[in-house]
Order: sequence, then C-alpha cells, then structure tokens
Amino acid sequence: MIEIDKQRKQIPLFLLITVFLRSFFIQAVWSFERLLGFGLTYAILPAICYLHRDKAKRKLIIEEYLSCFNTHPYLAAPIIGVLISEEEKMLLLTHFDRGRIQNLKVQIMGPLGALGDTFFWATLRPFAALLGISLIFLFWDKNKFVALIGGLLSFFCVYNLFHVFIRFIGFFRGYHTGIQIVNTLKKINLQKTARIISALGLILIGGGVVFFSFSCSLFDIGGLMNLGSVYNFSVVLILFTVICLLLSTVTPAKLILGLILLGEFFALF
Amino acid sequence: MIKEILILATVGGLLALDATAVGQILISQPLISGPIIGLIFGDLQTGLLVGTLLQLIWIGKLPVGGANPSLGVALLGIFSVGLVIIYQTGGIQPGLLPVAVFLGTIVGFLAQKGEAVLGRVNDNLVHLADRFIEQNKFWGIEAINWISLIFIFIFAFLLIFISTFLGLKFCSFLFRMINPQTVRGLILAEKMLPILGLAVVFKLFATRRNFSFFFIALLLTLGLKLL
Repeated sequence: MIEIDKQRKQIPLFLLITVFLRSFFIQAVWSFERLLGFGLTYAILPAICYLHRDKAKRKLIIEEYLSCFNTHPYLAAPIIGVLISEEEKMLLLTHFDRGRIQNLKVQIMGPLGALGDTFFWATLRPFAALLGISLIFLFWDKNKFVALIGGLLSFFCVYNLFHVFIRFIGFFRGYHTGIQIVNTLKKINLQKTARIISALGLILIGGGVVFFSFSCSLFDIGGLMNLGSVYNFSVVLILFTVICLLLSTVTPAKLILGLILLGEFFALF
Repeated sequence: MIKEILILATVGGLLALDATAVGQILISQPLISGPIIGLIFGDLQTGLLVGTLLQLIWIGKLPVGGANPSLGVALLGIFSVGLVIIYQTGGIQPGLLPVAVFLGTIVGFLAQKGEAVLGRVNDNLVHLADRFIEQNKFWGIEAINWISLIFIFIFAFLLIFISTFLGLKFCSFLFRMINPQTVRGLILAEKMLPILGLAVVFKLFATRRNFSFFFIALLLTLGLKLL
C-alpha cells in the first residue's frame, strides 16, 4: 500500500500530472549524444524546481539529468516516477549522495528499454492496424460512416489503450512503489502477449486475403483478369505466396516497382 | 494548387510531430492521417484508401534501416495521400496510385536522412542547454524543447511542400507522356498493391508455430464465402 511519510516533502498531485504530461515530450529533443537525456530533464524539471529552492543544488541535479539516458520512450514514464520518489527521499538524507540516483537511473533504463520496442511498434501497432482495416472493410458496404469511425477508432484505441495505460500506471506505480516497479514490469509477460497478438493478426490476414480476392467496393478488384471469383482467389494466393517469399530478400520499395512492372506485363494481354 | 500544397504541408508538419517527438498516439500514421487529409480536401475515400495501403506496406522498416522509421512513414503517408488527392482535384487519373506510392518511397528515404540531421542539430541544442543551465537560466530547457519541435515542424513542412510540388509536376508530365496501355498496367498494379500490404504484415507475424492460424482462417473464410 502507499506509505505516506508525513515528514517527507511531497510533490503535489498537479505537479505530478504536469511531469506525466511532459513525459510525452520525451523524444522532442532526441540527440545522438544524450539520446533521451534532454527529454528526461524537460519532464522532471517541475519536480526538481519544486523540491529544491536552492539554485546551486538545482543546477547540479539538472546537469546530472542532462546526461545520457537510453530507454524505451513509453517506459521512461515509470522510470521518471521512480526517480521523483527517490528525489523526494533524498531530501531527508543528511548527506547529498547523487550517486545513488545516478546508479538507479542507469540500472533500470536497460531492462525496461528492451521490453518496449518490438511489442509496441512491431506487434501491437500492426495488429491494431489490421483490426481497424478489417473492420472498415467488413462494414464498408453497409454503412460507410460507421465503418470508417469504427475501424479508425479500433486502431486508435487498441494501441493507445496499451500505450497510455502503461505510461500512466507505470508512472504512478513507479512513484508510489519505487524500484519495485522493475519486478512488476518484468512479470508482465510481454512475449506471451506478443505471441497471442501475432496469432490473432494472422487470423485477420487469412480472412483478409479471402475477402480481398472476393472484392469489396473499396478496393474494386472484381475486374482483375476478368476471370471470376475462384480464379481471382488463386491468382491472389499465388501472388501472395510469391511476394512473401520475395520479402526475405527484396525490400518493399523494390517490390512496389516490381508490381508496377508486373502490371505492365499483364497489360500486354 | 500552391494553396493546397501549403495546407497539406502545414497539416502534415503538425501531424508529423506525433511520429516521434510528441506522444506517438498514432495520428501521424497513414491509416489516420490519410482520412484526415482526405477530409480536409473533401475526398475522404481516397484518403482512406491510400492511407490503408501505406499503413500495411510500411509496417516494418524503411529502405534505410536503422532507427525508428516513424517519421519517414508519417511523412511519406502525408505526401502520397496529398499527391493523389490534389492531383485528382482536376479529375480522376487512373493508375496514379502506384506512382504516388513509389514516389513516397523516395520521400521516406529523404525523411530518414533528415531525421539524422535533426539529431545532430539537437546535439548542438543540448550543448546550448548546458550553457543555459550553467548560468542558472532554467527556462532554457523549456525554450530549447519548443525550438526543437519547431525545427521538426519546419523540416516536415519543407519536405512535404517541396516533394508534393515536384511530385505533382512529375505526375502531370508522366501522364501526358505515357500511352493508355501503360496506364492499364498501372491500374492492374494498383489492384495488386494490397496483396503486398497483406504479405508484409504476414511476414512480420508468421512463424512456423503460428502459420496454422493463418491457414485455418484462410480455409474457413473461403468455405464461408463459397457457401
């Protein structure tokens, strides 16, 4: 549970929220040298200014935060939460030991950085996109407006639910429970979740290939080769397989060119 | 035409901020930015179409691999959608889509190069911040934060403006030169592009273990469709 140390000077809630909102800007000033260091400083600045009236101390602390900081942008929020709670605790200590906070920072940034990238960007985002697109196509013929709003909202909400949720819960949990957050986060089995999401995504693709070849009024494919649905499907399936195999070696950019040339080839008939 | 490109570049520049710098709540992604731009120019359907296509194709890395391709994808999305919509204000041009998508590749490439430049610029900005802090001017942090965002916006604005302008010129030149047969080829290519989109996502998700999910879904849907 939350332990409120009455002697500990605490950041007021609205300042915490300000820091949280600022953490969304963590990549605004991404640099090769400090990576997310500046963003971290920008986010935590209100808290530091509140805790330290003494400008000299403030300067020291901020200069420290400006150093290199490398983690996943979304998971920076929990780290900032932890750092703020540590800064608060630091005020109670008699000796000014910055080393502890520095070490903490370096310690957590690694493991948390590894968790984020593949899951959010390479698994959740494609799946949410597939879901949204599938919904749009499924309902396009019935009611365009609903299809559009439904599909786009699904894409937007599925991803951001995870995204903002992790930032929000991570941040406040990090603030309240300190470094325990790393263990908590490690317990969330992202790899298993990623596997489930991949499987669901594949189901959508399977259905998508079929729906696509049997046409829908958005992508008017009915006339491909003018050969009726089942032949259509076979052509689509063959193309699909060939492209999948090619993707191991050829980049999508070249494949776009390839498809243009293929189209030209088919146009000869 | 210039007016439209200006609007496109402004909206695009703002949306592109979401790609890496601010929040990443997906409004920079082609699937969302496409319809938004379509809505602004009064052609929602095309915006949606192009956006969907690009979202699927560019789910992975951009040609110049390396870091997060978000800004590249965002900018090429805005470019391609804008190009298609603005070009077609004068009338539908069949076969435009594949050309726009292909040109988008170039824009994405340039965007990634630009991102590296911005990274170096930010190095200097951070050094500037160091000096501010040394002089106890703590407001310097906020200032530099917004300066960097303005730089990103300016870069996105310029890239979209110039590439859309050149793209439009190129396309009108191209479609005056080629014969109807080639246009037919482009139309066929347009119909095949979604397959590429699906294939890319498939490649991303598929492993030996979960291939069966795809296959079963395929057969089930096929069965349902034929019955």
